[in-house]
Amino acid sequence: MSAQVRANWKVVVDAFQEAFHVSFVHRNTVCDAFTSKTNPYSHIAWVQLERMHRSASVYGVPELAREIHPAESLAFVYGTAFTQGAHAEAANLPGVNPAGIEDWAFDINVVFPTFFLDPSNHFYFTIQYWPSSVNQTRLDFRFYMPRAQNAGQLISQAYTNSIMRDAGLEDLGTIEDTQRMLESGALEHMILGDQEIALLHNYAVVDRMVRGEL
Amino acid sequence: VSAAHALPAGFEDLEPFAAQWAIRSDDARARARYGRPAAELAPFYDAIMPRMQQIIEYLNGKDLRALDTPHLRLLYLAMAFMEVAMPIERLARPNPQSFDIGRVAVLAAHPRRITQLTDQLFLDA
Repeated sequence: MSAQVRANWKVVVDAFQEAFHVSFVHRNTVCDAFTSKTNPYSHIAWVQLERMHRSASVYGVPELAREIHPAESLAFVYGTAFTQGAHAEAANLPGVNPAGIEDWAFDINVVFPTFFLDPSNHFYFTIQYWPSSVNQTRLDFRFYMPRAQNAGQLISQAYTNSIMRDAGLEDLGTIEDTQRMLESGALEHMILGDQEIALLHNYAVVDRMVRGEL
Repeated sequence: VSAAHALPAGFEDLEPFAAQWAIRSDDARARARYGRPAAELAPFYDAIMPRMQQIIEYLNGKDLRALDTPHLRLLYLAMAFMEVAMPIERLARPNPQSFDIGRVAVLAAHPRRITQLTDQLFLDA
């Protein structure tokens, strides 16, 4: 799916490279799969900063440690789904979940500046950002799934498709508000926290490039 | 029920839902549920939920790429169930901040990519 948002590309990218928004932005959708008593704010499980690129692993609640919804349960039994987490085979694929996080949900791999490749449970998704002006960006989301071998697998894919879309729409819903807030000038500075280390890294890389240091 | 909404034998009782929910495209299935209150979706959810296991196991016994039209309708109904399950099971109340689905487009077709999950059914092996 593709969407045009009225926001600077960095604001758009920011919304997809931290996880602690989950308990707020996604409180009605996927929150239960990514937050638990041990990690109530979905703190990032692992992060690695490269010269320009960066990777992170997102925490996921083990399948057996939470209540599974009826449709979700069908998706898990007859196929696999995004919210299935660490018990998925995908966590053991080469290059995926590089830190071996036990309660793993998915990785965020940022190819600077504008391409994300996020491997998850039996599928991966990419986000390509296309800045077209200082405050206009198009996002192209693509989901890559193995070809379904039977109806159960296809129906499970429909579950992942649906829940990913819901979460994606919620993510997109915050971006233009952030842009408007920044443009208002009400805040002179925006303080970023430790959970936003990937955002800090992006701004540091951009700053160094603009200064000709990178 | 007209032949236009016929389902395989044993699932005739679900035929009243076929006109509205037996939709091939993921995108159209999604648009059929966004903006509809949970109360309007509940009768479909309640009718299909107790039958889902039976539907999946029945369809799993068939060749996924050789389904006739009534079987395809049953498959699309089950996929639509996965759409309506979201607002019924998870969204206690819709997120008012959520981005408008009307502003989201399907990516253009590409020879090596599919744009709908069900396109898999009609690809050459």
